[in-house]
Amino acid sequence: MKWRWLIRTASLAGLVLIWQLVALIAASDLLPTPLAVLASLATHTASGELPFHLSVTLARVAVAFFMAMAIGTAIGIIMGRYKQLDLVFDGALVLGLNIPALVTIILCYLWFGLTDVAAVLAVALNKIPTVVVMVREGARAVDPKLLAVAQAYRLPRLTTLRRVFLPQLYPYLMASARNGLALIWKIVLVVELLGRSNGVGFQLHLYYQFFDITSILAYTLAFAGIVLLVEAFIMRPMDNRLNRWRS
Amino acid sequence: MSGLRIAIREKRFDGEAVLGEIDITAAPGEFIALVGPSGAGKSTLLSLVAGLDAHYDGTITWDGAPLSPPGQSPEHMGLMFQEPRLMPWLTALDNVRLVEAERAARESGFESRAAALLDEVGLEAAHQVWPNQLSGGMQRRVALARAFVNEPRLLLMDEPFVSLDMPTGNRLRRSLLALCERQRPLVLFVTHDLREALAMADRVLFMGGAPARVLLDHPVDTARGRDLESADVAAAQQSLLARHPQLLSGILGADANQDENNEEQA
Repeated sequence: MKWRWLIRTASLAGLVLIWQLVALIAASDLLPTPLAVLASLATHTASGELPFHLSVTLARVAVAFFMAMAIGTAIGIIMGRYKQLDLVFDGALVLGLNIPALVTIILCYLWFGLTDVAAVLAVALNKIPTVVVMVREGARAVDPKLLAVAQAYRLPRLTTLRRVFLPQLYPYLMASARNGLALIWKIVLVVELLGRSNGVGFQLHLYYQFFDITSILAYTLAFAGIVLLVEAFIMRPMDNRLNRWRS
Repeated sequence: MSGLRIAIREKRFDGEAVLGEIDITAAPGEFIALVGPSGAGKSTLLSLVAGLDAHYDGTITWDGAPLSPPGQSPEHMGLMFQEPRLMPWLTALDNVRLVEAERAARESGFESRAAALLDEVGLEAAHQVWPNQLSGGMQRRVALARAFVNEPRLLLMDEPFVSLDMPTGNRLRRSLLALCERQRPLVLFVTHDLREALAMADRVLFMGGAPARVLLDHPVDTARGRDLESADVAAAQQSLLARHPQLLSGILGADANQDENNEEQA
C-alpha cells in the first residue's frame, strides 16, 4: 500500500521536474516554470478569486455528473433488458453519441438562454449517451440465474435491484463514472467559456485574452489537483469496497 | 384440500410440447423425488412450481389456492438449484438474510434465523466469508440454509447435490434430512440418481416420454434417513429395475398398463 503511494507521487513529481527543466532551458514567457505557476496559484487563491470560480465550476460538474449518471443508467438498464426498446432507441443513441459537444451547447444556449440550467443540461446531454452505452452492456451481461433466485424467493423489486441486479452493474458504473468525470469537466469549461460569466472556463478565456499563460496554468493545475483528489479519496476507495469480494 | 396439487395439461417451448398431462398431489411434509433421464421435463416442472415460468396450460395450487405470484408470501417456498447460486458480493450470512429481508423489515422485533441456520449446517466459522472463498460443498450448505430460512412449507430442489464427491454429498443429504425432520416441508427433489431418490424420498415419481409425463408413482416403504450405500437401497433399486429395466431411460416396462408411453425415447 505504502509503495503504491510512493510510486504514484514520484511519477507526478517526475512530470513536474521535467516541466521545470524544460521551462528553465526555454527561458520564455510562453512556458512559465512550475514555481511561477505555484506562486500565481497562491496569489489567485489568496484573493479568493480562484476558490470562487473553482467552486462554481465544481458545482456545475457535480450537477451535470449526477444527472447524466442517473438518467444514463436508467436508460441503459432499460435498453439492456428490453430488446424491443433497445431497437427503438438505438438510432437515437448513435445520433446522441456522435453529435458534437459544441452543437449541443450552442443549441441549449439558443433554446434556453444563457442560463445555468442550459449550461448544465448541455453538459449532461453530452455525457448521457456514453453512460447508456456502457450500462447497456452491463445490463445485457447480468446473470439470469441469479435473477431467477430473486424471482423464486419473491424478493421485492427494490431489493432485487439493490442486492442482485445493481451489484452486477458496478464495474460498468465505475468505468462510466471515471470516464464521465473526465469528459464532463472538460465540457463544463467549454460551456462556461461560451456562455457564462463565472467559472474556471470563463477565467481561462479572460487570461487567454490577456495572454496570461501563468494564470491559465495555475487554474489548470488547481483543477487537475482536485481531479486527483477525487480519484484518490472517492473513486479508488469506492472501487476497492465494491470489489472486496473478488479476492 | 391440503397440500400441493400440480395439474398440468400441457407446457410448450417454441411450439413443441415438453410436458404432457401431469397430475401430482402431495401432502404437507411429504418428500417426493422426481427421477428421469435428462430432458424428461423434471427441471421444467420444478420451474413452473417455483413460479419462474408462468406460460403453461394448467394449474398449480397450494391448499386449493393458486401458488403465490412473485411479490407475495415469500415465506412458504424454499429453493435449491443445481449450482449454489449465491450472490458473490454478499457474505454467507447476508446471502441467507437476503431472502428473509422483507419479513425483517415488516415485523418489529424480528430476529434473523440466518445465523442459527448457518451454524446448524456446520458453517459456524464462515458467516462473514465471501462465497468464492468457500468450497463447492460449503457453498451448497449456504444455499441449503437459505432454502430453510423462511421455514418453507414447500421446498423445491433441482439436483442440489449433483457433481459433489460422495462423502460431501452424504453429509449434505444428512443435513437436508435433519432440517426436513425439524421443519417438515413438502419437498420436491429432482435427481437423476435413483439411489439418491430411494434413499431420501417417501415417494419416487418417474418421468419420461415426449411430451413428458409421470410414468410411475413408486412409494418407498422403508423408514427415512436411509444410507445411499446401504443394502436396503441397493435391494430396492434392484427389485425396481428388475420390474422395469428401462425405467431410467424414461420407458416403463411392457408389463405395466401404460403402453401409450412406450414410444421412441432412447
